Amino acid sequence: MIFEFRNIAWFIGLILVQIFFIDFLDFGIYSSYFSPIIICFFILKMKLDTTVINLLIYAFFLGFITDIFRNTLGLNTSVLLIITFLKPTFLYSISSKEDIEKDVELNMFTIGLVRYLLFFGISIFLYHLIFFIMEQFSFNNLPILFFRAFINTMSALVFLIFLQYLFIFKK
Amino acid sequence: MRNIILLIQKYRNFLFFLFLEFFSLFFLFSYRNSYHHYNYLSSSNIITSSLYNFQYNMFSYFSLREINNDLLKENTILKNQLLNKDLVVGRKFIKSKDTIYQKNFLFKEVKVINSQFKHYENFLIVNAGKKSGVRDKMGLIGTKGILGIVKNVTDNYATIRPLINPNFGLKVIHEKTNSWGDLIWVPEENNYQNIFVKNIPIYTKVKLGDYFTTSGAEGLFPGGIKIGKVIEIKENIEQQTLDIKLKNEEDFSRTKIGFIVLNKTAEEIKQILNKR
Repeated sequence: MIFEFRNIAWFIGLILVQIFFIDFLDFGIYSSYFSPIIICFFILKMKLDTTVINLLIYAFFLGFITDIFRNTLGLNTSVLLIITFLKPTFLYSISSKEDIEKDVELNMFTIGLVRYLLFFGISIFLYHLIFFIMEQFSFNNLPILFFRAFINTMSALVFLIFLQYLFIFKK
Repeated sequence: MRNIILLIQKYRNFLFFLFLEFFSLFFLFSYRNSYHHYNYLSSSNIITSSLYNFQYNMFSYFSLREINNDLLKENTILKNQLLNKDLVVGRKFIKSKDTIYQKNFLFKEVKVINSQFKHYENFLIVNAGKKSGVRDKMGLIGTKGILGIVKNVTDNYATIRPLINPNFGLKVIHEKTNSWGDLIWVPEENNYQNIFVKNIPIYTKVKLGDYFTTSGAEGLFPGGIKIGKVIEIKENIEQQTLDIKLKNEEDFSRTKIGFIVLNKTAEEIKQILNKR
């Protein structure tokens, strides 16, 4: 029950932080380099034994609500669904199945900082890359898109570390 | 059936993912996101247009016949415009672009369905006859030069007596000096590629490579249509004339299309010629 409540809190909290804090940050002409999207953290941190169907449903609603607020109907949803579907692939590409316990939430304290950077880094980088390509809907300026995705991934990772220190209690 | 259910069970994650993804993409490309909506439309247009282009490339090959017919008709119209610039009675008649001037020549495009060129008396057959308004003694010009004169007409076909027929005769003029001559094809000495011009005075300065053109005097052809290029000049001392051999502009071995010339003032010319 506590777990359920915590998840709902993360769900709503991430959306609120994304929409009312990160999207309101203003860096002038560099704004496009510092507009990280952190909602995918909710999906990525889910326990390993969560069924894919459940994850997809979460992702759909998470993305859909974010899209409604960000006025990008369908954009975050589609990218988030892709990332959700590919999550196990990313995870097992950096560690074997036995390394990670099934019923533990994934965060920097449970999987370690290096794996956190790798797993969340790859996932969030891909999220941003697909997001930007879909947003622009062409393959023009691909190097700039890569650079933007990289910078945004960095800022998202840093921001998520900060959030995890605040809201996840070390046991 | 059971296998299908098993298959769906096996790939249910992926199918569910596809279902939701389809849903979200549907939202993404809905009219609410105008940018993505129009981008989707335009990119889909690229695909459809390339398909259409492919289809066009495929089928345009098969419709070459129709395209050729269209071009032929267009050529007729253009010839009508081009050769009616001057009212051709004599070669040096006043050229007039006035609205008063009368269109003398009309052209009808025809196809040469049979072309003889190896015989003693050669004939062409074209696919237009009385029903198309073709009459006796009308001229037939090709795409480069003249072909012949209508000899016989049936309802749907006409026989043409071409240049390369010993009974063919026409007054022609030397393009540079305006000297008159007679066009004669001698079967024993000529083949289908060349023809003689006789009765040109011996003092006329004719050079190799000069052109002979129609005079327009007999009302069969508009003036100034090329007949051939001079390839040989002989002096006939007895008659004090030049015997000139021309290379025909038209290649009778591969003639395919032509234009029947309709002269509106043909009757007048006939009357004048007869009164004389």
